[in-house]
Amino acid sequence: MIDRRTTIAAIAGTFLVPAPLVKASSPLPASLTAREVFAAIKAASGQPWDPNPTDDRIIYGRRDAPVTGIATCFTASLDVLRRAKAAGLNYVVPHEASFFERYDDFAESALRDSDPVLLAKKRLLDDGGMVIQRMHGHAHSRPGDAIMTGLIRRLGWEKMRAERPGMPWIDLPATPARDLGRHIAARLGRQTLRMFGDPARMIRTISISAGMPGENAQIQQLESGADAVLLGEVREPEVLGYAQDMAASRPITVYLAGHTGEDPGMGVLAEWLQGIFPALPVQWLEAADPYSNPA
Amino acid sequence: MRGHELFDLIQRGLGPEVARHRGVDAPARRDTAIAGGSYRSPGTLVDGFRAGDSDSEIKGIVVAARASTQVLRRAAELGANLVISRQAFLGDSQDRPVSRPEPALAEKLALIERNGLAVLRLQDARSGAAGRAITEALPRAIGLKSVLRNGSPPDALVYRLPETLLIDLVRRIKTATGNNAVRLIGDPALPIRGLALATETSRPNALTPLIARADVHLLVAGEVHETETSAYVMDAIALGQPKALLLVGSIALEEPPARSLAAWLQREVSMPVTWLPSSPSLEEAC
Repeated sequence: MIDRRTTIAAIAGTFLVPAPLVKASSPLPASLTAREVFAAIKAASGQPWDPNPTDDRIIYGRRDAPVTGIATCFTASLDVLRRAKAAGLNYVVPHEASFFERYDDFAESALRDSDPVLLAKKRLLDDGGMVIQRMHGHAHSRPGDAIMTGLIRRLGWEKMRAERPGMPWIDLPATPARDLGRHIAARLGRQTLRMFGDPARMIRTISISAGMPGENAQIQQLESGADAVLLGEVREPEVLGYAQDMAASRPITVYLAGHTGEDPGMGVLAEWLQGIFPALPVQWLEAADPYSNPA
Repeated sequence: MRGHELFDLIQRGLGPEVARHRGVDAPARRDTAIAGGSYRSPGTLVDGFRAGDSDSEIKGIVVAARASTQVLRRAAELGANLVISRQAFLGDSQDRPVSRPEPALAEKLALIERNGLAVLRLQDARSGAAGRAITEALPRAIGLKSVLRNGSPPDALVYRLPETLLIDLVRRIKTATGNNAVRLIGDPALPIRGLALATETSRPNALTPLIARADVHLLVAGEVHETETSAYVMDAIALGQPKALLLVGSIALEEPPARSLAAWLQREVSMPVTWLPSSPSLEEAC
């Protein structure tokens, strides 16, 4: 069955028509408020916009704030917000939550309202006239999944992608697992990358996911027949435990890249946003992966 | 002695379960909605028989951080028929299926059946002196003394220590858990005087309030929600706060308590008790 989303994705995929040309009948005014920017993003997405379940909405800031520029990022960390402010970008589009609760739901947060980190972040946002608009589900549901596109591009594997249903599948020249781990770590800028399985085993196929698609999807990747899987964040007893049990009878290699593997996808999203707002500065503010494993 | 009689003996010996706390297990409404019950909700206890016949006569006992398929095979080779698993071993945190089909878990159940094994899950924090000693096996192994306040989570997870460099604590924890592939956020040269050890939480929900405490510089946990707790620690560091986060692995974190439980149990029963290391051997790929 073909719904509206499929149709628009198919058109965009076939003719590579940038969103602004599709919307050419309604040119955007020169100066935009946050409300207008968000409305234009929703319109250009060509998707029915459902803010649930990941809260793709204006999370923080004044909807009538004039927008001076757009920053995309993995999370609106203090570091990213400071860089955005310095670059004059006050409309911040993070993939993940900003206030340490996955849905930015203050009622669900276990932190105190007076928490100093929470207060410092709000102060920075208020002083800079900044606005946060989350874009999680609608980044994934961009044609081809912007997050996955960014990750595969970053890994240098676009041309090796196989046409298969399910999570993206890459056919690789045979590579020892440890070398493949080093490639992934280097491309993703990791100081540490955890690997499960025999480092000398030759890998020819890898199934890829990013972020936390759920234990169910991650276990299906393990069972997909690929030599290796690249995962983002996992719940360890469920997923790593499953790999451990599986390895008792069938070899499997697992790379645990962490949740920040989704960051390059926000670079893809910045390119798309620049097409919608040609007159505004748009930048992807990449963040370094925070983990190390000191000897 | 039969399986259920052993479970009674263990419960009497280790004491009643410690009440759980919101600061460790957050309200789980949305977690449950999204993950379909994969997350343990506040107050949920997990101890009990999860596979096999609890009424069988026990020939030998194996204790493991997680009753992996390899552990179950080895137990059968050793002639043991009761396996105690600290961590979940058969699906989600409460040993329920998370995906279908799960051929690796079907094979595991067949192995349990074929060898007449029974699996007892034993992970709840317990309030008796012997129970606390098991909970505190890791802190003791890395030289920490006693918690701020017994039986009062989250205070029961917080330790004060003489100023120690973070890197020294990282090394001690690697040795004590046998896991070298840990993840650290923070400056290895940071002096630590307060530490929170989120043992037996199993679920990473809402560990952020522990590291948000002014008297806690380092949070040690198996795993966290990266977009919540990791993000918080990064921002706290960006503000100049003396904070760090060490993620050890939820299974690896159970190795010291599993070993301690095996030693205690061997003093209580006449049949052989063997601790088997079981955390997935993770390699550092960098």
